[in-house]
Amino acid sequence: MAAIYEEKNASLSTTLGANITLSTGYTLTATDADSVTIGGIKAPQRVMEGFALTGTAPQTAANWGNPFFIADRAYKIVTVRERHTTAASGGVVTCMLAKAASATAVGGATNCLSAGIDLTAAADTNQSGALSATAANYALAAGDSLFVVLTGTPTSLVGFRLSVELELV
Amino acid sequence: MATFEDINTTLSNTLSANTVITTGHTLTATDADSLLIGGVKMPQRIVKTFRLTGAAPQTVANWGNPFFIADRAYQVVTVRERHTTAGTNGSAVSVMLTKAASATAVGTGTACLSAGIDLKATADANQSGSLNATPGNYQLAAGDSLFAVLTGTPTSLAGVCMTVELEAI
Repeated sequence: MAAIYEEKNASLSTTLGANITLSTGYTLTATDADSVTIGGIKAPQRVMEGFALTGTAPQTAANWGNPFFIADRAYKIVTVRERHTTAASGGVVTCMLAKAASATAVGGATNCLSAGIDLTAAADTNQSGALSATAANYALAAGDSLFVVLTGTPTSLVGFRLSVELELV
Repeated sequence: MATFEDINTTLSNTLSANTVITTGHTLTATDADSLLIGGVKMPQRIVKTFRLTGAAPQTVANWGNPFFIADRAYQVVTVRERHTTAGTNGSAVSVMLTKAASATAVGTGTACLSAGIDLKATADANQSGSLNATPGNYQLAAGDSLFAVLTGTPTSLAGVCMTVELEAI
């Protein structure tokens, strides 16, 4: 029985004309990314979340450090990208992606990145955040919130967007 | 086919070819997190978030606006809310997750929760919304929008984030 099945699958594409149930305790693993399509559409592997401050809203310090996502389950951050339409002027101005559990204020949050993202960098150009060297710093438990924390004075900063790619763990 | 069925009840399988489940048939994975693509767990739900940063929650006009238009049928699974500064008005201050179809104003929307979420509750602590006892109230048809509807006067309220977990139906 097994030999018949293995031979078939090693050499031929298979069309299954019946319902398939994967019993509890078992997994279906597709080795390659983008290798599962459902109704002709590639199945998503990750979740995108983001924080935006439009127009001149980034210049108001109170608009920073607010929760923008509450995790419904455990995740880990995979990538962080930032872009702004007008750069901050003056001294050092950065933003940090931070996480905090319920009942922990943003002041006690954990930095998810190894360094803040430079908000004085060239406008209209993507920047990538470097994840913290400590994996737990960018792992979220259910109920954890994400924040973007500002450092410096965001003079002239306009049109801010930070996108976070999350992966289920 | 009989051979395939026999084998799947007893053995792990490795498929080294394309596999197609023909129209009208399903693949059901019994356990959550049991489908992996490229080594990553496939998301089962989507998350949409309503957020008002800084002092924006104190402006009544910032509430009751659509923050999601359903691309297909969904149902709400969980609702979590957190704020950085609680409301202080002497009367009740709460937020209700509401749905409304196209051409229906938010004023005649349907409450998805059994009660509003208290915006005077302790700052920085997650709250969970209780789904309405009627499933139809928290099920979305394609084209339905979601709103966060304020009740009361949001004095001092700051940094509101409400995350809604949805699953396809």
